[in-house]
Amino acid sequence: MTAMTIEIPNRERATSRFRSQRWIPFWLSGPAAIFFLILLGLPLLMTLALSFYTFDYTQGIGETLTVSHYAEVLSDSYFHEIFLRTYAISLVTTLLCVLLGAPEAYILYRMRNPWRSIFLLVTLGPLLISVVVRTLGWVLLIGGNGLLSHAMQALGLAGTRGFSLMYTHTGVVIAMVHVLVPFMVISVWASLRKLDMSTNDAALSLGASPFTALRRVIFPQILPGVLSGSLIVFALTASYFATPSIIGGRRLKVVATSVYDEYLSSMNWPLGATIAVVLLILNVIIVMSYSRWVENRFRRTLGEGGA
Amino acid sequence: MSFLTLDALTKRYGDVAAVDDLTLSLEQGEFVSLLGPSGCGKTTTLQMIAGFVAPSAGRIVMDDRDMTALAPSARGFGIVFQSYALFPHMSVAENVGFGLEMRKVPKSERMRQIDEALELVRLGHLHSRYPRELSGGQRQRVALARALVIKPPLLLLDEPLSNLDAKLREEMQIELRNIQRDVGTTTLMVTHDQGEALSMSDRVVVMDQGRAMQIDDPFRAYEEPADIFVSTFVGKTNLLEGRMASNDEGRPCVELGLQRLEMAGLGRVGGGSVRLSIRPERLEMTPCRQGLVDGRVQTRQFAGDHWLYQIDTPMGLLLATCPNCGPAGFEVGDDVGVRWNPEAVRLLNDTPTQTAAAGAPL
Ligand SMILES: Nc1ncnc2c1ncn2[C@@H]1O[C@H](COP(=O)(O)OP(=O)(O)O)[C@@H](O)[C@H]1O
Ligand SMILES: [Mg+2]
Repeated sequence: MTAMTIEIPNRERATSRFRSQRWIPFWLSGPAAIFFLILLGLPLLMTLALSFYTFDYTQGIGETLTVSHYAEVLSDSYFHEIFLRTYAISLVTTLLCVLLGAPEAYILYRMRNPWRSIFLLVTLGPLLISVVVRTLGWVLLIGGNGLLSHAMQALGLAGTRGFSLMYTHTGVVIAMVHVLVPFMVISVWASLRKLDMSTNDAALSLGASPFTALRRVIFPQILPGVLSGSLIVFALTASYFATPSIIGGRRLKVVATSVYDEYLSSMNWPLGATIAVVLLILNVIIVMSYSRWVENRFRRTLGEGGA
Repeated sequence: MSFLTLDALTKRYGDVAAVDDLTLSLEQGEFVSLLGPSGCGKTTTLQMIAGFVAPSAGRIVMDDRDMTALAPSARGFGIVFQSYALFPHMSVAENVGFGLEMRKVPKSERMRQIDEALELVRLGHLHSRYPRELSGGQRQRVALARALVIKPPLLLLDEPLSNLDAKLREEMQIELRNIQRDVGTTTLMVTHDQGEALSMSDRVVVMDQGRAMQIDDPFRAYEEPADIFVSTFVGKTNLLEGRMASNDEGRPCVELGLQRLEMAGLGRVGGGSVRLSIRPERLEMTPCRQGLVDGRVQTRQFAGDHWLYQIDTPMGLLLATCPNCGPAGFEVGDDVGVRWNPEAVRLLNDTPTQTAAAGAPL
């Protein structure tokens, strides 16, 4: 490149401009990157460091380093149960979000305006309301004195003690699905926007039934959206705090709530930090291997990193 | 009995008729084009034939079988979409084989037919590519192979070449027509490109605002345009105004410049003036005072194989083309004469609504 400009008299200026232009992206993204590093990287590093300090219930955080917290988290069946429960809830929530969110997005997509806009707003609107408020709404519905309980009693399906989904897996999953399904809808919506609906017509004209066209032609094309939506929902569920803590409570601990308890109830900060670090590492492994798999799967057909 | 008949086909969206009372018959093996400006209802017509849009009125009959209410999948027509609509998640072979799979053709037979279809469009070597990995022209061929492999009784093409660049488009015009002749499939093509319609079709349906203005073979559509719309949309033309008069024997004739023309069809025209059309290539430029009308060259354009002149005359601005046989004979600003053969002048049916729209330079 420089070899070609050698004869040009103002090459000096040209190359210096070229050189300074190369740094523009760094200057532009610098402030945000520094901000990000300080606010996310620093606490993360401090958490990591904290997880290696000893702890004693009488003396608090010690001076010496240890890996005993990791040994505890990795060997104690109490923590195994919490991690297993967390990922089980995440998996079920993700599956339900796929089953609800993907068809929902497709139906919305096939609607005509103004219905399309109205229902899209109805679907995404809850994102504007605090998760805590929405979860408390579920408490009113599924709690021991809630609407569901009254309805079941009226139908004679529940005894006088009422019927409650509080502190149950079912209750947590229902509320989590409600909170997270908009992310699935958004993600599938993005794939649908790229979809050429005439491929559906093409399939029909080639003799496919509407269902076959949906299954063989439309669904594979929105699959990247479903997969990336699943990733978002799964990762969010695995580290979600508000909903499991309100509906699951102490009786149904997940990783995020147990970290909270270690910090604020037991005051065992190093152990809390250790659980958080283990969760982070597991999540990163899952997310990275999953998105690598998705990328390989769709690179040739639907463009770079279909997800 | 014709092969495919559209009988008074109509589609209304609210108050507007996208397709208005279209009647058309296709013979077996024929290549017919729907030609018209954007928004004139070509795609809607095609979609009604394909079964994606339900007609508001009229019938679609094929081989004496009424198809109007049949589902698209039951019609079995081959369709090439404007966007090609290839399945991006399937390889070329899977795309082409999809229709066969739906017809439950056994695997080995399917493979053979896929190969055959890809060979037909000269893409045998791209079997396992994905649509993203193909050029525009190759995608177009895959779409064609996919539509033809099911051996459809009717092939529907919606602006099949409009996404290709000019040179490739010309090559594909010839190739598409050759393939169609080989397989003999009756074909209906939609296009807004008059050159494409003229060069490829057995017959052209010139459409405007949902109506068929003229259904004719390309030569006649160009040479004998039925009205002002057709004469201006199909090729370039000069629209002229002639005055009605009678000749020495008392027969009606038209006065155009210094010429008195006797033309068929003048009887039903009343008095006053008539609309005439003459193609730019039928005007001959002469030195001043040797033609039928004099004028001054206003602009000159070089178009490779011909020169295009605009000549300012008392009859209006005339467009004339001269084949390029060496350097141009006239310069801008030259005074010239213009001459034409009486046979080159066409009388146009003058329907009032189109007169305003055509905006003739007079
Ligand atoms: N689904 C629809 N709803 C309302 N109007 C439509 C619809 N489809 C087409 N039209 C109208 O019908 C007319 C013809 O459209 P189309 O057949 O697509 O034209 P072309 O293919 O010749 O460009 C246009 O004016 C268009 O706006
Ligand atoms: Mg169209």
